Amino acid sequence: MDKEILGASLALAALLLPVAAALLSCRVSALKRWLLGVIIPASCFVLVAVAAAVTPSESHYTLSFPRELPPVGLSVTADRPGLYFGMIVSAVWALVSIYCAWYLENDPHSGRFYTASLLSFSGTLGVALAGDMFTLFLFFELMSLAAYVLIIHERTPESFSAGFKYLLMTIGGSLGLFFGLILTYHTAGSLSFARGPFGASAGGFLAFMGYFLGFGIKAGVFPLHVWLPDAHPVAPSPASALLSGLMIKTGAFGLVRVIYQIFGVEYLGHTGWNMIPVYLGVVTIFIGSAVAILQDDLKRRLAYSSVAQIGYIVTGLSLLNHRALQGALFHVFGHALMKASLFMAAGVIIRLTGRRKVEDLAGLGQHLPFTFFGFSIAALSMVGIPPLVGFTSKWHIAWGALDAGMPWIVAVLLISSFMNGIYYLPIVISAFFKEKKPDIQLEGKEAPRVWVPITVLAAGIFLVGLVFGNIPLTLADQAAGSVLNP
Amino acid sequence: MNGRRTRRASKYHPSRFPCGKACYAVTFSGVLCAIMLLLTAFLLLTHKHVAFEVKYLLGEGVRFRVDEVSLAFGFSASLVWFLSYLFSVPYMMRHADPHKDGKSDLFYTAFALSLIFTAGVFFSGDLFTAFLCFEFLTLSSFLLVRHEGTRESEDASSLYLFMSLTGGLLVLFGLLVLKAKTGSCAYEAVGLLSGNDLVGVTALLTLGFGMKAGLFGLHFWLPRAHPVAPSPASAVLSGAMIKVGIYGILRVYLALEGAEIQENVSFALAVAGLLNLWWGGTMALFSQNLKRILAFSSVSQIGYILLGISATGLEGHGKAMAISGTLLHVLNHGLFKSLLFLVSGHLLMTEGTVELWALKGSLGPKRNLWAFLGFIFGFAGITGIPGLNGFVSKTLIHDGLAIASNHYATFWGVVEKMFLLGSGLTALYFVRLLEVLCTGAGQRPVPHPAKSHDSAGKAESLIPLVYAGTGGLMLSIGFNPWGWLRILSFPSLRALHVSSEAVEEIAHFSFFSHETLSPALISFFGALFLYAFVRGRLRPVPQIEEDSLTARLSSLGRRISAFADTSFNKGAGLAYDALARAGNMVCHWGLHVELALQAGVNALPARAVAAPKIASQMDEETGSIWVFLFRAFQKAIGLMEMVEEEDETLVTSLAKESRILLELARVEETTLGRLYHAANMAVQEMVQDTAKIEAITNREYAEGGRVARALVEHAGQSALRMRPRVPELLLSVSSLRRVENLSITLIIATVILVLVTALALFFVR
Repeated sequence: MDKEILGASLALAALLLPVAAALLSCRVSALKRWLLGVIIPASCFVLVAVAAAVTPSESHYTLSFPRELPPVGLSVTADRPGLYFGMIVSAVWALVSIYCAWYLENDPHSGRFYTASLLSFSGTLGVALAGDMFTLFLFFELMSLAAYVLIIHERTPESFSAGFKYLLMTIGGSLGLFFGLILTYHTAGSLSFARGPFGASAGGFLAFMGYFLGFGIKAGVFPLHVWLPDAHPVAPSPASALLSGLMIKTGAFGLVRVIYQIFGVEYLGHTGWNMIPVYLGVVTIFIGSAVAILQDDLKRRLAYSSVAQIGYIVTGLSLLNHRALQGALFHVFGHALMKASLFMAAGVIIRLTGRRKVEDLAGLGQHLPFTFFGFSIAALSMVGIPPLVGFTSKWHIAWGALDAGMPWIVAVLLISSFMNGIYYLPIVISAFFKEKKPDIQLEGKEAPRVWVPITVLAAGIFLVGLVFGNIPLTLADQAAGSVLNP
Repeated sequence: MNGRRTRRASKYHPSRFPCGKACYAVTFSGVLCAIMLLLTAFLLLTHKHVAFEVKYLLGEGVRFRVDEVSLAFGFSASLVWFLSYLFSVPYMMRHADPHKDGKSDLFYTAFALSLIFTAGVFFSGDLFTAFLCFEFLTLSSFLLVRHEGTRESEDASSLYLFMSLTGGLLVLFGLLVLKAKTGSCAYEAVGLLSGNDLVGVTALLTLGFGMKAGLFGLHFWLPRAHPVAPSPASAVLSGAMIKVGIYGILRVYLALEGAEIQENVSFALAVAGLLNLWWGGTMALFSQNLKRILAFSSVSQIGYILLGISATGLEGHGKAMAISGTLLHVLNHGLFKSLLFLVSGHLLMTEGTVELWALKGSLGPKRNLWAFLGFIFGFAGITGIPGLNGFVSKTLIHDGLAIASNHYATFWGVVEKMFLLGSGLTALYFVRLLEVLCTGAGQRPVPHPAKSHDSAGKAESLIPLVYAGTGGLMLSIGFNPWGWLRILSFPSLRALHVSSEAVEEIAHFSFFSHETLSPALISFFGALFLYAFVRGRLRPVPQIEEDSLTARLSSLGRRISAFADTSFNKGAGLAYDALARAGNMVCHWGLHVELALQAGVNALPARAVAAPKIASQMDEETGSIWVFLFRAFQKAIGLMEMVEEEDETLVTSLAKESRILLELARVEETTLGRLYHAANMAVQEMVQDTAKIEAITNREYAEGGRVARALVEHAGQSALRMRPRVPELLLSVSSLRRVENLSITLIIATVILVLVTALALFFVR
């Protein structure tokens, strides 16, 4: 019991730290803000990792503060899914923050970016460590609003229109989420992650759809994905990496909480509502991959690829069995590494060449070795070449689909892998085997602040897939077990 | 960019031994090939089993297992790799483009990695490991296919990559279902499934592996990808790498032992094998590119191996036959197909092309003895001439099928007959190759022998060694099949629980008896006989490849030939018209000339002599234009041929020449125009002449009329003159006292008179 309290306290500390740092960062210089932006996520990672080490894997201990924000109150939990997601968020955030310093080197408004980044970090981490739906909702809103600042950072007309679209859809999603919360509170009298408050009540389906609307918009599930391919390309590349790699996963994570800890497997299995996200996930996979093939703007292609990958995660977590959920959670980790690496590499390419078109990348492999090494590893992983992480997560989701008795989902996954190959492999091939276009000039080289995070992520993709796969896989396994068997 | 290139070029001279990174890569892959060969040979000879597992790798753990069947495959692959490696050293030094020479390190790295992963599939302990190596093999062999960097190789390698990835995904699907249903990834676990799962998994795995093997329907990437790789790489791709697919299919098939669907799978494999055999053979027969023919021949040879696998479901003797035949044919096909691909590489080095029409007579004992011998050995091996290796394995597979036909006579009987006909087809297209390559005079001068003092020349002394080594192995298999079977297939037979009597039977099987020799010889000589009839239709014709460089030139050539065609048509049409009109005129003229002659006019005969002269002159001129256009066309074809050199300066001069040709053709067109004009003038002249003649003739008519009138007048006058004498005549007639007679005489006389007058008129005219 002591260990559980210790773990939850550490989680609370990890949650308060970035909020405090974000408030503090308004008063300091841009360089110090950047340092905070790197150090705070890194120390949060340490705190969360220690919390994960001390708490037993089946713990559901929740630290509640019922007097704050009455009548529901706030609460923090240190259960496995929260800690697992929290570790991913803080580790990748720290790496991407290193890269920010290079990307925003000559930007007079970089201070604003760092502060917004810290705020959205606290929001994302809060979603992970929230102990009830209300706290989750609060931090979810914080993250959504802070992310708007990241999206419009460049202040071009396109970024304003994309940001407005994002804002409208996010507010719509929040209303859906709020609707779900009200219904849940009305039925159960509590918003804690206690399974099955709905019983036979009629509001169940409406609440489910409300939650699905809220989290689905954030995750980018078809047909709620329309903001995503607009917002990602206009944001600065580190913001795209954070948005695509981590923030849209909060939607998926929220769906895990809703499906397994608000409604419960028995209830959803009985009503069959889980098939809605399954089918929509499959459609998302196809639409995302197919549209990505048609894009010739590099960042738009990556954004549509994110849509497709979210399809994997949503499909996996809605299949209601252990292995598929484990695969989906593992894919949250894998996709965070891959997409952060891809977007950072895309940022380097766009910044150094001034080109965004896919065909302009020909022959750049020898000139930007680290960038394209990271890009290629991540792209091969997306295609599902073993032993990279993308293969491992696909393997588990596919296995889970077979466990659920739906072999057609395996076919969907494999066809989509092939489609991933169609839009990623030509980039890699032309980068390494074709001649550079003569009119492309490189302005500058890859600084250490560029190649360190990219190389670390690429090494992570390779080594986790090959050797250390059992560490995140075990964590995902425990997280899945924790939400499936209380 | 250009500066970099020249620096590169000076640093890596094409005929220097590669240095720097390339040197490490060359050494690494050479040592690796040698080690693999020695290791597999050692394990094969000592019957060692090796099995080990790397736990936690990839979560599932990776398992390797070396057993009898995988050793047979692994040994064949290592042998092919080693021989191709020896050939690749001089090939890459001599043939490699100096600009790309820095890439030969990439080639050797990919070459070595492909060997590692091919062996990885053969020695995989379960399907998961096999899938893993399969994917890596796809990536590393993609580098081999892509190496040349031409537009063709880009397209073909992308096709190869995506087809292979699809194959991998199919295997993965099957693997996942297998793992989910049985909890194991072992090959043997396939046999534990039942019902729809069994059918589905078998189909998925067979199709997935079949993609790599070039199974009919999934083979279309193969004839495009194999020819574009550098020749040593083509040799390993075709000789060994497609066996990866065969290995997977064989393993899955063996795991079905005793399952209810085994017989159906046998039927399906047999049908697929026949389709492969026939389709590959037919396409090879009509292809125009040596390496493409060899690639299609691989599709066809995979058919033999699939037929061998399909017959392994039998019991006892037949099973032993089929397995031995399959394993031996895997080795044999590796040997002769890599040998033939290496010969094609040799021709590429000396002749600079692998287009069949340009290779006419390029092999000969005086021209290039070793390549000639290599080709002859490959030819004899693949067509199954007794005494070489192909005969042995084909005989074994054929006997396996023949034994199967004792059980299910209708199906297997047909399969066996089709097998024999198919081997005749193999002989047919190789006889065509033999005739093209080895008869007739070569089109290029005899290449200089390599200078022994430069290192490429030294390395080239490896080439005869490769040919001799491969040929020697093929001969030794051909003459001592028992020894090779004892090493290669008997351990597998025992491991697969074939009864020892059946093994003994093969050990004493007489390969050179009447029963085995006659089908082989009949199909070979039948093919020879058939070839005599169809050879005219199988002559190689130049084919313009749609390469980016040649595409432009070929379109230019096509334009020239089209222009030549139209100008010829136009010219011929004009000349014909002119001739026809001239002929008409001459006819008219002749008539008039006749009249004129009759009339005795002197000027006309002279015209009559001149007319044919003009006509023949015109004829001659048209002919010369004909000849010129034909030469221009020939020249255009010649230019196409020279495009093979891919030399930029030549290409520019070529373009210049083509432009001159076009210019000339245009000049010729104006000549034609002038000719037409001249013809017109002649015609006009003739018309004028004709008018004159007509005038003359009219005069003559008038004169004739006058003469006739004169004659008639004359006759009338004579008649008038005769009238006073009529009473006299009457008196004399009355003296005859025959008035009737007189009147008859008168009538006769009148008639005679009229006739005479008419005749006179006629003759005077």
